[in-house]
Amino acid sequence: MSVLWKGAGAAENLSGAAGGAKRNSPALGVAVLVVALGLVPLLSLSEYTIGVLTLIFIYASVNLSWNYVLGHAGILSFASLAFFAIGGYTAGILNTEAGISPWLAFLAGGAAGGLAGLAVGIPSLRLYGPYMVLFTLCFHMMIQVVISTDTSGFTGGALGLTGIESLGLPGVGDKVDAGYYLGLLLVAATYLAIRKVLNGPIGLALRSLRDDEAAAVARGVSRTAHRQIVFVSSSVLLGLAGAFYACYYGYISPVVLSLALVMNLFAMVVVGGLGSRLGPVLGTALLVLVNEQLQSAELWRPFIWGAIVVVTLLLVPRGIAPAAGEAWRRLRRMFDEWMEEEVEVSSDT
Amino acid sequence: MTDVVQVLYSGLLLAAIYAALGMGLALIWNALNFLNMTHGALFTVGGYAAWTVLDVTHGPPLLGLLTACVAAAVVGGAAYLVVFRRLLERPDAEITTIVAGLGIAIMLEAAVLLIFGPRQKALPELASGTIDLPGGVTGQVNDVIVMCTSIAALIAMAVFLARTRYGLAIRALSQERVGARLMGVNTSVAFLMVMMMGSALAGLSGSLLANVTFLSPTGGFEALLKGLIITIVGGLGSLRGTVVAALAVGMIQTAASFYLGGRWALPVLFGAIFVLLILRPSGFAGRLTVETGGSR
Repeated sequence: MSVLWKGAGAAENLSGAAGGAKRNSPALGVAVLVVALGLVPLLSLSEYTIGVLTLIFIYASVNLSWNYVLGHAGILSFASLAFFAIGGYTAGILNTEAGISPWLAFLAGGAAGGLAGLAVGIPSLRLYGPYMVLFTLCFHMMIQVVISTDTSGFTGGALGLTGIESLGLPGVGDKVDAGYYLGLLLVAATYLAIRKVLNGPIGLALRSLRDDEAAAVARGVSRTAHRQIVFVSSSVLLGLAGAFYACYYGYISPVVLSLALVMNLFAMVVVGGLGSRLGPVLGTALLVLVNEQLQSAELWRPFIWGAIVVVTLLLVPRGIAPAAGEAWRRLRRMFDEWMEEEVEVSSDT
Repeated sequence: MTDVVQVLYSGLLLAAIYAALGMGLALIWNALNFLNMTHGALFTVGGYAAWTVLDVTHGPPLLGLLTACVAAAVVGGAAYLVVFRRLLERPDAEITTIVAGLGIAIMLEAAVLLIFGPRQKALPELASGTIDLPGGVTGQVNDVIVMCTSIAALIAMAVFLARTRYGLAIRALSQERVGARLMGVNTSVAFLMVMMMGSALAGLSGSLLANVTFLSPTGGFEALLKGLIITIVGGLGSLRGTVVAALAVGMIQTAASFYLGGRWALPVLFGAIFVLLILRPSGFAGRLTVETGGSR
């Protein structure tokens, strides 16, 4: 628990540094949310519920990284789950084949994700237009084909890799609870890392490149270098999330590379709000819960996901998080005006 | 000798089908300036439409090809009218059209799976008989007809674009949208026409490939990927570049599957693109400018 409190404190500090003129920084809300979620296992919920929440944490950290690349940096990457799988498989293979401890394997997963990101980014990030879509989709497919048709036993082929040790958390004996806390830590750390980058000089450079590229480049902001930084750092985060997934479930299989999952996670990012800070978390939580309701309609699921994406784009193009924020601000303005009227009336009398 | 002839034969066959696939994407990219991510799903829709009509009517196989074109054109046109047209008006069209396209593709493929089930289906051959090729390789008359159909469709499209008034309008739109509008080109009709033509090419290639191999509800994604590779390697929207790229991709894929095994086809292709993008970032035709999306 102490670790979680520290994370929450850091969020508050950051809000002071970066939130600036904003009256009510979302960081405080996030800190409260993290603390509240940290107390959830004390409610003695069922293992199933804790499991679903942990899944939300894992997916949310993937979606935060994806949104960081797609929404904030405008890199049209669809290879997020490929980096996720690379991290997961690296951790799994290192742990089961080489007997390296889970925590080291977890870190190695992040490193492997980052290296893969670097390799994919070098030829493609300097280009304009839809090259990125092609290149990342291709990379994803290639990883999927190579892993799922592997018969040498190195990656476990289509069946997957089993027997990966879980990451232990000192002080928490229960495996499900430990996974829950670590998952919460993972998503909080991912959020904070991305937030730190976006609030810093790199975020400023990204915004300037987005708003007026010619002016930004003329001021010495390198488009390729900044895109590469974002791409590699997101790949590290994705690799870590994948390694966490592998250690948490004890296995990893090519299912994590299935198009259905790509579409699921993608729908979460879009519904939550591309380019919004917390949107992906909101979208993930919402759609994982929807998904749990759809268990009986297995065949209809992809259809429903596709429809959710299209309808969201047509009706709420910026996603539900910005739309909800907008509605909340409007409501507060109305409330403030109403309050001011009250005050005026009372001062008159 | 036998090996080489075999690879060339299969490669050319594949390249002809891929050329039709990539050309549809290139056409849409050129005129409408968006990447049609539904292309793979339209490919599947075309194949299944052909299968359905032949299964019901037992008509001539050419009827299947025609149905495939019409069905894909109708679905693609509908997707344009309902979704893409609206998204293209927005400033963030580049990303939202891609996202929505993927969403529509998933919906279409799920619908195909729900209607037809996961089992693979075979289309009847366009013609039976074999021909002897040098090196003791036996070719199918069916394959040759498939190749010729695809090439004929491409030539017909090229003639349409080069010689007719509508073709002129589409070319004008691709080059200078505002100018074309000022000269009286009805953009909404022209755009719908381009979308339907591109989709029809996707449907045609879907039914042609189904004639040579088989139909599966999940084949669309690979088709989309191949189409994207061809379009982009060909220099995004350059029609000649697209044909060259289709040839290259067909040959590389066939050679890699033949000599290394099917699972290496995609990695080899990926490696080739990797090298190409480092050496020649604008594709074979070199048309891509430094502006986002600008192709000519």
